[in-house]
Amino acid sequence: MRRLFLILGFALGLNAAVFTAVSGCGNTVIEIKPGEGGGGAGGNNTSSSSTGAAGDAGIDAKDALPDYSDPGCPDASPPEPQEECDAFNQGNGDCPPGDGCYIFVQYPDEPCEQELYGTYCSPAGSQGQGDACGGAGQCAAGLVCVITGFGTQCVQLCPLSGESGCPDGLTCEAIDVEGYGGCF
Amino acid sequence: MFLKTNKLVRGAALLAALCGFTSMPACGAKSGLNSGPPAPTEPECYRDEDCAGSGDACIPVICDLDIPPVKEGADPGGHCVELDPIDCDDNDPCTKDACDSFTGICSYELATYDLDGDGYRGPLLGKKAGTEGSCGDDCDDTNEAAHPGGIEVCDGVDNDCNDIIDDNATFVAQGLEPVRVSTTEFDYADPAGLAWSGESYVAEYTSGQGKRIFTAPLTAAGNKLPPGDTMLTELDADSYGGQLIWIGDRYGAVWQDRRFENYEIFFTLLNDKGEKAIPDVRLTSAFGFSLYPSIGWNGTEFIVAWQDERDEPGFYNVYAQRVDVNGVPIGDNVALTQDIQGFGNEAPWIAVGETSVGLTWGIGDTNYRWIQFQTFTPDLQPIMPEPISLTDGNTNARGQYVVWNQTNYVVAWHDESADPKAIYAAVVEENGAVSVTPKAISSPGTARSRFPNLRGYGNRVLAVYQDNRDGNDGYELYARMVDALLNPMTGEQRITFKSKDSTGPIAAFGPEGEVGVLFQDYDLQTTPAQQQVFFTRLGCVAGN
Repeated sequence: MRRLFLILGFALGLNAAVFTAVSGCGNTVIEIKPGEGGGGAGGNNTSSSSTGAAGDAGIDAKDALPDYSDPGCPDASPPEPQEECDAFNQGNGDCPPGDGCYIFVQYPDEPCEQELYGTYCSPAGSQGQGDACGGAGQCAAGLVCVITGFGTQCVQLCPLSGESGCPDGLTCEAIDVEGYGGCF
Repeated sequence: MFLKTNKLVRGAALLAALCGFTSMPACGAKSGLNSGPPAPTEPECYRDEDCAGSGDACIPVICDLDIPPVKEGADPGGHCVELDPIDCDDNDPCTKDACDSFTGICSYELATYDLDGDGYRGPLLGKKAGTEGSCGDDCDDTNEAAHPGGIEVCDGVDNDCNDIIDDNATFVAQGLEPVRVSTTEFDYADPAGLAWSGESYVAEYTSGQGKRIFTAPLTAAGNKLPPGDTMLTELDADSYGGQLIWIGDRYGAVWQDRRFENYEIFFTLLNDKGEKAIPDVRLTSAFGFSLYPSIGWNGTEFIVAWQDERDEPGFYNVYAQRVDVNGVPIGDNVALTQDIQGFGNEAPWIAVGETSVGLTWGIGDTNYRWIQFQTFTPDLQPIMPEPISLTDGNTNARGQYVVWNQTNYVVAWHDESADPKAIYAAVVEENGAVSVTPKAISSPGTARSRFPNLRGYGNRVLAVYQDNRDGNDGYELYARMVDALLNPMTGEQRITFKSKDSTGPIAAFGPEGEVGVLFQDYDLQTTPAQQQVFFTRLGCVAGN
């Protein structure tokens, strides 16, 4: 089972939000809080029968589920990426000497707002493909620090469509910044 | 209400009897002391509702009217008396005994379900179907074709409950062109889950790098059925599908998204067409990221496990949550791991056994990693006091996966640095004993195999994985059957043939013994070629 890879840097270090808004923009969520877990009652059946038919105890066999319509979010165009440089074309002069072009994502505060992503110039790190990292800036130019499920590490950026350009044996897989993949 | 009326009548009778005693000043006795009559006893209550704790008919508290009125026409008062709680225990382990706090009436729901409607109930949590005290003898309550007395056919089901699926059958690649599943709306898609309901598959996939998770019902051949693609998540929040599981009359689905800024784990129920049946249930609310959920079903409850950053920034532990059949969380998040030597616990995968939950996950740095395994009770208490390591930490083992193989667990992973860079597997019993030590089950030569996905048949295991041995411009999917001791029963069958990478297989039992496979491949019909989600299948050849 492969997994989505998550960029580290702008993402890591965000403190836990104050989780009060459990519904916004019409998107309904059932939330549990610590110490308020359900009791597992399995519905509101109050039958006193001890010889109920198949599928009792709050559910019926087949066709037991109600109709439900997710209200979703209103249509909205994504914000323009904030591109300061070309992350697929390092050393093209977009960034000062010694800097690399890195990608970022900024998560929104509200459920139906959209994330902001783009690129920025920053002093280049030295970590290479597969090396451990603890945040943005530790990886060499052209790489990104991501949470993978098998260690947080630097991976080479790659395009998700067309030729990936990944080293032999690695594949280009999605990270959570639109338009960018990483070699794994 | 009948109960309360009865108590009031009894309180009034008690008051009448007490008036005959001599020490009751209110009844006219003389003391001889020059201090005047003692102050009348202040009543504690005048009615049941005045008593603290009243209102719960299961733990009754009444007002015992034992104090006469202070003057004619006034109400009598009394003291609050706690009566014995209602005892609803019928000593039958096959019922859930409960008392209705409003009526005080006992109810006795059956404690087991017949979710697949075949007339046979699944067992109690932690019990093997058909054993004493199990209260159910259906070995697979997710499929109506499986029950005691069933006739074994080639259908991916243990029809006769003998702990073996499709006895002695083998599987062959159909040689059919894979069918694209993912919508054309986005230029990238990842497979997330695949399961067969008995009438159709539902495929779950993530599109647009997390813009949406979709579900789609598919025929046995992988063609879409109405209503087609349905959005599981309707907001652009880096949603990423975790897994999908069919439990007999509904699907449970889990995923991660960051709609609340931080990545959290969500759960929902789907109908047999993959349409959402309840609002999203948020399972986590702690500090840091909660990622990579896996889901199992134990016949009564869902178990969801994921990696969680709440204990220390940058480090992960595996947490889990029980969820009932209606999608209601049971209790709170439970930590299943702890930090070991500063290594995080990552990428959990769970499977549900006969009396346990099996969990595999990875620890280590980016180059040297261990594959861990531990079993837990249905309420997530450790059975094995400590996890075991299935690798020695000298290699880069990852991509762990576990499946229940009717009598024990099979854990598989791939290794990026061992020789060969193969799929490895081990067999572990519910008590943690390693009955088959790790061995390579693929033979990639100097190439590499990755990301195993397993199906357990009881006496054998089908492994589906990606491998780049053939030099076809990347990876292709392969399948191999191994026996219960992990020895090869077949050669390695290549099941995809297009150039460029075919990756991330997810296998599911399908109809007539077929195995459906959802995977990612480049769509060569698009320019440039896009990575999208496809479906193919293996056919079942009946055995003797």
